[in-house]
This record gives sequence, structure tokens and C-alpha cells, in this order.
Amino acid sequence: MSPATGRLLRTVFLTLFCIVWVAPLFYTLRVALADPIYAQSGTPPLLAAITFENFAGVFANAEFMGALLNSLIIGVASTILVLIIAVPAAFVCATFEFRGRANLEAWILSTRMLPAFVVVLPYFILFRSVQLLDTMLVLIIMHTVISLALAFFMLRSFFADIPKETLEAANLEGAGHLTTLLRVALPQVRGGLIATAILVFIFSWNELAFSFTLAGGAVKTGPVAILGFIAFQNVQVAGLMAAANLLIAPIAILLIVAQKGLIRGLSFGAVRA
Amino acid sequence: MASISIENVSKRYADGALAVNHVSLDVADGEFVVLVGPSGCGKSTLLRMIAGLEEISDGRIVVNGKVVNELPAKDRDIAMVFQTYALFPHMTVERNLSFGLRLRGTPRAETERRVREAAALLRLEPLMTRRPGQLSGGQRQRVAIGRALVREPAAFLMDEPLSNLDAKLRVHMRTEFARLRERLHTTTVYVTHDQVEAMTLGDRVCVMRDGLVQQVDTPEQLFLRPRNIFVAGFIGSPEMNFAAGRIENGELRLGSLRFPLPAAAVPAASEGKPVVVGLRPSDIREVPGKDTVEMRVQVELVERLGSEILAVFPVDATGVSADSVAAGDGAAIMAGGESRTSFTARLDASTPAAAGRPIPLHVNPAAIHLFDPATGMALRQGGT
Repeated sequence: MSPATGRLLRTVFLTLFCIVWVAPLFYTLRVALADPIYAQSGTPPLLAAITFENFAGVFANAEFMGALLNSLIIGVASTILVLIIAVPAAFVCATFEFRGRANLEAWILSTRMLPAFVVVLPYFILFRSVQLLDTMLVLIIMHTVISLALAFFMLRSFFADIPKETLEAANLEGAGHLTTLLRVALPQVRGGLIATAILVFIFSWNELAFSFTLAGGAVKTGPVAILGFIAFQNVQVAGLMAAANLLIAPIAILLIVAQKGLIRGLSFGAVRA
Repeated sequence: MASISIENVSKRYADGALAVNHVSLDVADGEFVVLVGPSGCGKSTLLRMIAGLEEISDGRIVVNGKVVNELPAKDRDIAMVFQTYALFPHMTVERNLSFGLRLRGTPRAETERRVREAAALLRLEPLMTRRPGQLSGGQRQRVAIGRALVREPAAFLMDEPLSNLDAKLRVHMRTEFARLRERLHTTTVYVTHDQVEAMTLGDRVCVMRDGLVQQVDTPEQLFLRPRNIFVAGFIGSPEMNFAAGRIENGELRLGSLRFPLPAAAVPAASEGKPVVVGLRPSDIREVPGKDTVEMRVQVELVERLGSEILAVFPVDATGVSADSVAAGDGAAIMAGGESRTSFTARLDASTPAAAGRPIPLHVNPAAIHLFDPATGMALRQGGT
């Protein structure tokens, strides 16, 4: 294949890819920025005047804004919890040989093998018995649980990439295992740590199944609140679009800011910085 | 400062492989001992056991009279320089140097003083604010040494510290090491596969092979009196020439050559038996001397090294590989094979040697080494 053909093919495929992925997002944004009348009538508002009326409506919607705040709190809390648990676990599995390590890792992976809706009922019964349903805490716990395996495996690959000698050198310099982890290993995987944190946060931010079933009454998250726009007889399409954009915005910003680290993170440490 | 005593130490891996096989070695306070051997001989494993990075399967290691088998690496007060330097990539040179002292809670003024001294000694001052990624190989090496120095540890362990450097820098750093050794007199165990490094740096050298100690001696003694054929072949460059010979009537017969041996030098039991003859290239001379035996040889190849030449010539005797004899299948080697092998002589550059030209060379029979073909052990050590 000549370079010119390669370039052409690349352009064609990337264009198709962009149309499939970006068009709906663009349409969502365009509807959100147009007079609600377009949404009601179903007319594509491609050339309509830009108005922030729908966004103003969403900002004024205390319930939705409260839900976004809930999502933020739950996302940050569960991300911190995940890192506190996954960092030492991943470090130990990446740097020490011990009996049963492979089994342990397989078990950690197995926690992600069942679809959410299969396990949600047992969890529902469990959390009902300890009276945690419809609280922030139950969602912080659940979002921690569902992200642990991902965080563990990502971090494990980052730690495995650290030259073992630097850890041994730290050891000989007088550092115990915890000191070695905090002062020598973690700084070397900073990029990976950030990528992991972002992914865990996104998982929590977007999570619907558990947020909807284990909470959703007094404690609503963003995705649950979005459902509220279509839960009644008339679907408020324009408001829904504006709300959806608000839900997407923080994630999009995070992704753009952390793009480089994330791509590295998602290749699971295959590429060295 | 410390003495290190390795007592009957073994390392057995989970698959049963013995990496280190009942090794005993005493390193005196302030002594510089080099562990040398081909890759896989167990030298690095032994070093890592001293460091506490590898568990000891059997035996014990005593540092300053205290058994350290169960002592974690961080409490052994030993500093190590790694082949890959193992600098902390996220810290500046200054932080790398002071890391150990800061961990130990050394007072700030004391830390700064020691870091400054090490930096001056190793000429690191202009680099203090850089990170390892911004340094050249030689500079990283100096930082790694500095990190070991500032702690003023009981002992230094060095695991092939020069093998990642290019040839020229390696020679330079070898000199630096020698200078540091003279200056600090800290107990050091140094691992290398390079016999030149071993010979130039070690107060004593421990030659290892397949997890076993072959010989521990001063560089000079290793060269002059190798205990077995492996040590004889490993130490010295170019390698010692080996060939199959036979002792008859107090004479050594090597193909068509006859070397009279001093009566005291011939072990009674070897009379009439095959032996492995070892002759160092440097013991073959271009001028006759007292008691030398002349051999007329047809030079096949001449390598000019500037101040000297290496002349390769055929000898009508069966060649012997030091490796196979030491591995215990000497009988097989002696039995078969073509009865012609090549010897190398290291001669003065002015010697009129050229390929295809016959020249007379001279050997003092006293310089000839004899080895038992079955065990590889020295029957008689040459160089006297």
C-alpha cells in the first residue's frame, strides 16, 4: 500500500468513526442549545438560533443539580477508597512472589465477571438488612466494589513496570515496604495512578444499575436524575439534552486534560513512558 | 567497617536447582574481594544473599560476628551498587544521595556534609539538581556509588557495576574504583564476569563455577598457581593453551615435543599416564633463556596489538577444552579428537613472525601446568 492510499484510508475511516461517535453528541448539544419548540416538534434545529434557555432550566432544577453534587461526592469518595485498597494490593502482587498469588488475582478478576443486574438483588437484600439503602454510603461502597478489579489490574501493571532494583535499592537504603511503596514506587507510577483515578471516577459518575436500584429515592445520582426527565408522561427532550450535556461535560474535560496519561493507562502499562 | 563470613551457604530454588552450592568465604575487615565466574555461576545470587535480597537456603552469613540470615535487608547496614544503577528516577541527584540518610533520621547538617563530601569525591557537584534521566551512563554510575558512600555502611556490595558502560568508560571507572578502594578501605564484595576487573581490583579473587567455589586467592596466585583447569582457563588473557600430553620417563611428551621436567615436579602417579598440558601464551618466548626448550613452529596467523603480537601456530597434540574437562568428561576428550590443535603465543612486537613462516619459540618447562584429565585438578602448578 502506498503512503497516499494509507492516508486516504485513514482519513475515510476516521471520518466515519467521527460521524458515528460525534454526530449524536453534536445533535444532543445542538438540541440543548435551541428553542424547546424544535425538540417538541422533532424538527432538526441545525440552523436555529442559539439559546441557553434549556441550560438555564436545568441549572434552576435543584433536584438535578443536587444529583450532580451527589455524583461528585460519591465519585470522589469511592475513588479515594478504591485507591487506598487497590494501591497496596497491586504493589504486593506486582513485586512479591507468594503462594496463591495467581488464585488471588483470578478471584479479584472474578468480581467483575457477572453483570450488575445479576448481583444487584443479593446486594439489595444485603444492604436492606443493614439499613443502608438509599444512602450515599451504599453507593460509595458499591462503586468502590465495582471498580476495585479494574484499578487493581491497572496499577499492578504499572508497578510491574518499575525496575525491581529501585525497590531493592530502597530496601538496602533502609526503607521498609510501606516506605518503599510511598516514597519510591508510587512516585514512579504517578501517571498511571492519575489515569486509574480518572477511570474509577468516570465509572462511578456514569454508573446507573446500582445507583438506580440501591438508591434513587432520597439519594439520586446524575444518571438517575436524567431518567427523571423521561419518567413522566411527557418527555422533556430539550431539558434532557441540556442535562445530558451537563453530565457529560466534567468527564469530557477530565478526558481531554488527562488524555496522554489515560491512553498509556488503558494500554495497561504495555508502553513505557 | 565489618568482616563478612559466609559459612557453608547454599541457595536452592523451588525447582530444586542449586544456584549456590555450600560456599564458604571469609572477607576480612577492609578487604576487597571479587567474585568472578561465567554467567550463571551463582556469584550474583551469593551477593544478593549477603545483601538480604535473597533467602539463604542453607548455611549462614555472619557480618561482624552477628548472624544475619533472618535480618531484613534494610537493617543490614550494607550498601549495594547495582548493574543497572537502580537510581530513583523521580529524585534529583542530591535527593538520591541523601535518601538513606534522611530515612535514618540523620541530622540535616550531617546529611548535607556527607552528601557534599561524596559529591566532591565523585565530581558530582554540577549535577546535584539533575534527575537520573538527564545523566550519562558514567554519571549515573558515579551517583550510584555516591549513594552507597554517603551512608558509610559496614560493607559495599557491587553487582557488575561496570558492565553497562562502554569499553573506554569501563576502563576509566575501573581506575576510579581502584582509587576509591585505596582511599576508603571499606569491606567490599564485588561481582563481575570480567577477569581483568577481578584481577585489577581484588585483594583476593574468588572464582566460581556452577555454584561452587573453584579457588580463592590473590590475583597473582590465581594466575601463577591455578588449582584446576577451569581457573587456569578462566584467568588470563589470551586464554591458557591446553593440549593432551603424556609423561614418560620424567619427560612430558606433547605431540612430537619433549619437555624434561624437574624430578620433584613430576607426581609419581602420573608416570606413563595422559595429562592435560597448560601453557600460558606469555610463557612462550621469542628468545631462548636458561633451561628453555626450543620448539620450531609454523605460524598460521599473527594478530598485531601494537606493543605485542599474538602468534597462532599448530601443535601436533589433541586439543582440550578447559570447560569439558572441568565438567568431568575428560576421558572422552582425551580419547577422541583430531591430534592437532592451535596454540597462541604472546610475543614482543619486534618478533619477525608472519603467517606461513617457521620461527623458533622457547618454553621453560618449569612454566608448564599439568592437570589431571579426569578431575581437572592441577597435578603440578607451573610458573615457578
